[in-house]
Amino acid sequence: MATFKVRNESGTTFDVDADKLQDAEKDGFLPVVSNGSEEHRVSTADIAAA
Amino acid sequence: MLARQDAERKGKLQAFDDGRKTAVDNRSFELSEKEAMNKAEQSDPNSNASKAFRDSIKSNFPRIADSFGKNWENVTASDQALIFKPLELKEQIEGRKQTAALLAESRRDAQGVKADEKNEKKKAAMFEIEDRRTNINANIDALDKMIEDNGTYETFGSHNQDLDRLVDQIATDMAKLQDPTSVARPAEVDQIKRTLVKPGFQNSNSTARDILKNFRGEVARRADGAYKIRGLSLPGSDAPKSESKKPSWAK
Repeated sequence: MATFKVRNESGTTFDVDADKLQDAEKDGFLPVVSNGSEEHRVSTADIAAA
Repeated sequence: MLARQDAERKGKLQAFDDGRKTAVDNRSFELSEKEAMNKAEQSDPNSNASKAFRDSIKSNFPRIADSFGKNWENVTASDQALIFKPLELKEQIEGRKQTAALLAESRRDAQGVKADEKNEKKKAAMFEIEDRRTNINANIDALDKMIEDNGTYETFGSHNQDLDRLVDQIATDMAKLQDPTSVARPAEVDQIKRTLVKPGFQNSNSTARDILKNFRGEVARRADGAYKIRGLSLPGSDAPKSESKKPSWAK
Protein backbone atom coordinates (compact mmCIF):
# COMPACT_ATOMS: atom_id res chain seq x y z
CA MET A 1 0.00 0.00 0.00
CA ALA A 2 1.24 3.50 -0.83
CA THR A 3 2.55 5.64 2.00
CA PHE A 4 2.10 9.39 2.15
CA LYS A 5 3.91 12.05 4.07
CA VAL A 6 1.49 14.33 5.94
CA ARG A 7 2.24 17.56 7.78
CA ASN A 8 0.26 19.91 10.02
CA GLU A 9 0.51 23.71 10.17
CA SER A 10 3.22 23.70 12.82
CA GLY A 11 5.42 21.46 10.67
CA THR A 12 5.01 18.12 12.45
CA THR A 13 5.33 15.34 9.89
CA PHE A 14 4.19 11.74 9.91
CA ASP A 15 4.04 8.91 7.42
CA VAL A 16 0.60 7.48 6.85
CA ASP A 17 -0.89 4.68 4.78
CA ALA A 18 -3.19 5.69 1.92
CA ASP A 19 -6.28 4.29 3.66
CA LYS A 20 -5.66 6.45 6.74
CA LEU A 21 -5.26 9.73 4.84
CA GLN A 22 -8.82 10.82 5.61
CA ASP A 23 -8.24 10.38 9.35
CA ALA A 24 -5.01 12.35 9.17
CA GLU A 25 -6.74 15.15 7.27
CA LYS A 26 -9.42 15.37 9.95
CA ASP A 27 -6.62 16.06 12.47
CA GLY A 28 -5.17 18.82 10.29
CA PHE A 29 -2.41 16.75 8.70
CA LEU A 30 -2.46 17.24 4.93
CA PRO A 31 -0.46 15.24 2.39
CA VAL A 32 2.74 16.91 1.25
CA VAL A 33 3.45 17.16 -2.46
CA SER A 34 6.74 18.24 -3.94
CA ASN A 35 8.00 19.37 -7.33
CA GLY A 36 11.58 18.69 -6.36
CA SER A 37 12.41 22.13 -5.07
CA GLU A 38 9.31 23.06 -3.10
CA GLU A 39 6.96 21.18 -0.84
CA HIS A 40 3.29 22.03 -0.35
CA ARG A 41 0.46 20.71 1.77
CA VAL A 42 -2.63 19.87 -0.26
CA SER A 43 -5.92 18.24 0.60
CA THR A 44 -6.51 14.72 -0.72
CA ALA A 45 -9.18 16.07 -3.08
CA ASP A 46 -6.57 18.31 -4.74
CA ILE A 47 -3.81 15.70 -5.04
CA ALA A 48 -4.79 14.84 -8.60
CA ALA A 49 -4.66 18.52 -9.59
CA ALA A 50 -1.29 18.98 -7.82
CA MET B 1 100.85 10.21 27.00
CA LEU B 2 100.42 7.67 29.77
CA ALA B 3 98.06 10.01 31.61
CA ARG B 4 95.87 10.34 28.49
CA GLN B 5 95.68 6.55 28.03
CA ASP B 6 94.78 6.19 31.67
CA ALA B 7 91.98 8.76 31.35
CA GLU B 8 90.62 7.02 28.24
CA ARG B 9 90.59 3.68 30.02
CA LYS B 10 88.78 5.17 32.99
CA GLY B 11 86.21 6.73 30.66
CA LYS B 12 85.54 3.40 28.95
CA LEU B 13 85.15 1.65 32.28
CA GLN B 14 82.67 4.32 33.43
CA ALA B 15 80.63 3.96 30.24
CA PHE B 16 80.54 0.18 30.67
CA ASP B 17 79.44 0.60 34.29
CA ASP B 18 76.70 3.07 33.33
CA GLY B 19 75.42 0.75 30.60
CA ARG B 20 75.24 -2.18 32.96
CA LYS B 21 73.46 -0.10 35.60
CA THR B 22 70.82 1.07 33.08
CA ALA B 23 70.22 -2.52 31.93
CA VAL B 24 69.73 -3.65 35.54
CA ASP B 25 67.39 -0.70 36.23
CA ASN B 26 65.29 -1.47 33.13
CA ARG B 27 65.08 -5.12 34.07
CA SER B 28 63.88 -4.36 37.60
CA PHE B 29 61.34 -1.84 36.24
CA GLU B 30 60.00 -4.46 33.83
CA LEU B 31 59.80 -6.97 36.65
CA SER B 32 57.92 -4.62 39.00
CA GLU B 33 55.50 -3.69 36.19
CA LYS B 34 54.87 -7.38 35.48
CA GLU B 35 54.44 -8.04 39.16
CA ALA B 36 51.83 -5.27 39.48
CA MET B 37 49.91 -6.57 36.44
CA ASN B 38 50.06 -10.08 37.81
CA LYS B 39 48.79 -8.93 41.20
CA ALA B 40 45.90 -7.01 39.63
CA GLU B 41 44.93 -10.06 37.58
CA GLN B 42 45.07 -12.27 40.65
CA SER B 43 42.74 -10.00 42.65
CA ASP B 44 40.23 -9.38 39.82
CA PRO B 45 37.28 -11.83 40.12
CA ASN B 46 36.64 -11.54 36.35
CA SER B 47 40.23 -12.30 35.28
CA ASN B 48 41.09 -15.56 33.52
CA ALA B 49 43.34 -16.54 36.40
CA SER B 50 40.50 -16.16 38.93
CA LYS B 51 38.05 -18.04 36.69
CA ALA B 52 40.52 -20.90 36.21
CA PHE B 53 41.14 -20.98 39.95
CA ARG B 54 37.39 -21.16 40.71
CA ASP B 55 36.88 -23.86 38.08
CA SER B 56 39.63 -26.04 39.53
CA ILE B 57 38.27 -25.68 43.08
CA LYS B 58 34.71 -26.35 41.96
CA SER B 59 35.68 -29.53 40.09
CA ASN B 60 37.87 -30.85 42.89
CA PHE B 61 36.05 -29.54 45.98
CA PRO B 62 32.43 -28.87 44.98
CA ARG B 63 31.27 -28.60 48.60
CA ILE B 64 33.81 -25.88 49.31
CA ALA B 65 32.56 -23.98 46.26
CA ASP B 66 28.92 -24.42 47.34
CA SER B 67 29.65 -23.16 50.84
CA PHE B 68 30.43 -19.71 49.42
CA GLY B 69 26.93 -19.41 47.97
CA LYS B 70 26.39 -16.12 46.11
CA ASN B 71 29.91 -14.98 46.98
CA TRP B 72 31.51 -17.70 44.88
CA GLU B 73 31.69 -15.41 41.83
CA ASN B 74 33.71 -12.90 43.88
CA VAL B 75 36.43 -15.38 44.89
CA THR B 76 39.71 -14.47 43.18
CA ALA B 77 42.93 -16.29 42.43
CA SER B 78 44.60 -14.33 45.24
CA ASP B 79 42.31 -16.09 47.74
CA GLN B 80 44.21 -19.37 47.42
CA ALA B 81 45.50 -19.21 50.98
CA LEU B 82 42.01 -18.78 52.43
CA ILE B 83 39.93 -20.95 50.11
CA PHE B 84 39.62 -23.73 52.67
CA LYS B 85 38.57 -21.29 55.37
CA PRO B 86 35.21 -20.21 53.90
CA LEU B 87 34.18 -18.18 56.94
CA GLU B 88 37.27 -16.01 56.94
CA LEU B 89 37.14 -15.55 53.20
CA LYS B 90 33.42 -14.70 53.32
CA GLU B 91 34.21 -11.94 55.78
CA GLN B 92 36.93 -10.61 53.52
CA ILE B 93 34.59 -10.63 50.53
CA GLU B 94 31.89 -8.85 52.52
CA GLY B 95 34.51 -6.29 53.57
CA ARG B 96 35.48 -5.71 49.94
CA LYS B 97 31.83 -5.24 49.02
CA GLN B 98 31.32 -2.70 51.80
CA THR B 99 34.44 -0.77 50.80
CA ALA B 100 33.26 -0.69 47.19
CA ALA B 101 29.81 0.50 48.30
CA LEU B 102 31.33 3.22 50.49
CA LEU B 103 33.59 4.39 47.67
CA ALA B 104 30.65 4.49 45.27
CA GLU B 105 28.61 6.48 47.80
CA SER B 106 31.40 9.02 48.39
CA ARG B 107 31.78 9.40 44.61
CA ARG B 108 28.04 10.05 44.31
CA ASP B 109 28.23 12.58 47.16
CA ALA B 110 31.10 14.40 45.44
CA GLN B 111 29.15 14.51 42.18
CA GLY B 112 26.10 15.85 44.03
CA VAL B 113 28.15 18.62 45.68
CA LYS B 114 29.59 19.62 42.29
CA ALA B 115 26.11 19.75 40.73
CA ASP B 116 24.84 21.86 43.67
CA GLU B 117 27.74 24.32 43.30
CA LYS B 118 27.07 24.61 39.57
CA ASN B 119 23.37 25.25 40.19
CA GLU B 120 24.19 27.90 42.81
CA LYS B 121 26.50 29.72 40.38
CA LYS B 122 23.85 29.53 37.68
CA LYS B 123 21.22 30.91 40.05
CA ALA B 124 23.51 33.76 41.17
CA ALA B 125 24.19 34.75 37.55
CA MET B 126 20.47 34.66 36.73
CA PHE B 127 19.64 36.77 39.79
CA GLU B 128 22.29 39.29 38.73
CA ILE B 129 20.82 39.65 35.24
CA GLU B 130 17.23 39.84 36.46
CA ASP B 131 18.24 42.31 39.19
CA ARG B 132 19.78 44.66 36.63
CA ARG B 133 16.86 44.26 34.24
CA THR B 134 14.40 45.07 37.05
CA ASN B 135 16.47 48.10 38.14
CA ILE B 136 16.68 49.48 34.63
CA ASN B 137 12.98 48.99 33.94
CA ALA B 138 11.99 50.54 37.29
CA ASN B 139 14.19 53.57 36.59
CA ILE B 140 12.79 53.88 33.05
CA ASP B 141 9.27 53.84 34.55
CA ALA B 142 10.24 56.59 37.02
CA LEU B 143 11.89 58.66 34.28
CA ASP B 144 8.91 58.23 31.98
CA LYS B 145 6.57 59.40 34.75
CA MET B 146 8.75 62.42 35.47
CA ILE B 147 8.78 63.44 31.81
CA GLU B 148 5.05 62.85 31.51
CA ASP B 149 4.38 65.05 34.56
CA ASN B 150 6.98 67.79 34.22
CA GLY B 151 8.72 67.44 30.87
CA THR B 152 12.46 67.23 30.27
CA TYR B 153 13.36 70.58 31.83
CA GLU B 154 12.40 72.78 34.75
CA THR B 155 13.96 76.12 35.54
CA PHE B 156 13.65 75.68 39.30
CA GLY B 157 13.85 72.75 41.69
CA SER B 158 15.65 69.41 41.65
CA HIS B 159 13.84 68.07 38.58
CA ASN B 160 16.84 68.29 36.22
CA GLN B 161 19.24 66.71 38.73
CA ASP B 162 16.75 63.94 39.53
CA LEU B 163 16.31 63.23 35.83
CA ASP B 164 20.08 63.22 35.28
CA ARG B 165 20.61 60.88 38.23
CA LEU B 166 18.05 58.37 36.91
CA VAL B 167 19.65 58.45 33.45
CA ASP B 168 23.03 57.86 35.09
CA GLN B 169 21.72 54.84 37.04
CA ILE B 170 20.09 53.36 33.94
CA ALA B 171 23.31 53.80 31.93
CA THR B 172 25.44 52.19 34.68
CA ASP B 173 23.14 49.17 35.00
CA MET B 174 23.01 48.83 31.23
CA ALA B 175 26.82 48.88 31.01
CA LYS B 176 26.97 46.11 33.63
CA LEU B 177 24.39 44.12 31.73
CA GLN B 178 26.44 44.44 28.54
CA ASP B 179 29.77 43.51 30.13
CA PRO B 180 29.18 41.37 33.21
CA THR B 181 32.85 40.60 33.87
CA SER B 182 34.10 44.15 34.49
CA VAL B 183 33.09 47.25 36.41
CA ALA B 184 31.05 49.82 34.48
CA ARG B 185 33.67 52.07 32.88
CA PRO B 186 32.84 55.82 32.65
CA ALA B 187 33.35 55.77 28.87
CA GLU B 188 30.79 52.97 28.49
CA VAL B 189 28.32 54.74 30.78
CA ASP B 190 28.74 58.02 28.86
CA GLN B 191 28.21 56.26 25.56
CA ILE B 192 24.91 54.81 26.78
CA LYS B 193 23.87 58.15 28.30
CA ARG B 194 24.30 59.81 24.91
CA THR B 195 21.60 57.49 23.52
CA LEU B 196 19.18 58.38 26.34
CA VAL B 197 17.30 61.58 27.22
CA LYS B 198 19.02 64.62 28.69
CA PRO B 199 17.57 67.43 30.80
CA GLY B 200 16.92 70.41 28.53
CA PHE B 201 15.02 71.26 25.39
CA GLN B 202 16.92 68.96 23.07
CA ASN B 203 13.95 66.54 22.75
CA SER B 204 10.25 67.14 22.95
CA ASN B 205 8.47 65.26 25.72
CA SER B 206 6.92 62.76 23.32
CA THR B 207 10.28 62.11 21.60
CA ALA B 208 11.94 61.61 25.00
CA ARG B 209 9.27 59.09 25.96
CA ASP B 210 9.66 57.30 22.60
CA ILE B 211 13.41 57.08 23.24
CA LEU B 212 12.68 55.44 26.60
CA LYS B 213 10.22 53.03 25.01
CA ASN B 214 12.79 51.95 22.42
CA PHE B 215 15.45 51.70 25.10
CA ARG B 216 13.23 49.29 27.01
CA GLY B 217 13.32 46.95 24.00
CA GLU B 218 17.10 47.28 23.92
CA VAL B 219 17.22 46.27 27.61
CA ALA B 220 15.26 43.09 26.89
CA ARG B 221 17.62 42.21 24.03
CA ARG B 222 20.71 42.94 26.14
CA ALA B 223 19.39 40.83 29.01
CA ASP B 224 18.81 37.91 26.64
CA GLY B 225 22.35 38.44 25.32
CA ALA B 226 23.67 38.47 28.90
CA TYR B 227 22.26 34.97 29.42
CA LYS B 228 24.11 33.79 26.32
CA ILE B 229 27.39 35.47 27.40
CA ARG B 230 27.20 33.65 30.73
CA GLY B 231 26.37 30.36 29.03
CA LEU B 232 22.89 30.23 30.58
CA SER B 233 19.68 29.18 28.94
CA LEU B 234 16.88 31.73 28.90
CA PRO B 235 14.38 31.43 31.78
CA GLY B 236 11.60 29.06 30.83
CA SER B 237 13.56 27.38 28.04
CA ASP B 238 14.67 24.61 30.42
CA ALA B 239 11.13 23.34 30.79
CA PRO B 240 10.76 19.90 29.27
CA LYS B 241 9.03 20.03 25.94
CA SER B 242 5.90 17.93 25.70
CA GLU B 243 6.57 15.06 23.36
CA SER B 244 4.43 15.05 20.29
CA LYS B 245 2.17 12.05 20.61
CA LYS B 246 1.95 9.90 17.54
CA PRO B 247 -1.63 9.72 16.27
CA SER B 248 -3.24 6.32 15.79
CA TRP B 249 -3.34 6.74 12.01
CA ALA B 250 0.41 7.48 11.70
CA LYS B 251 2.85 4.73 10.71
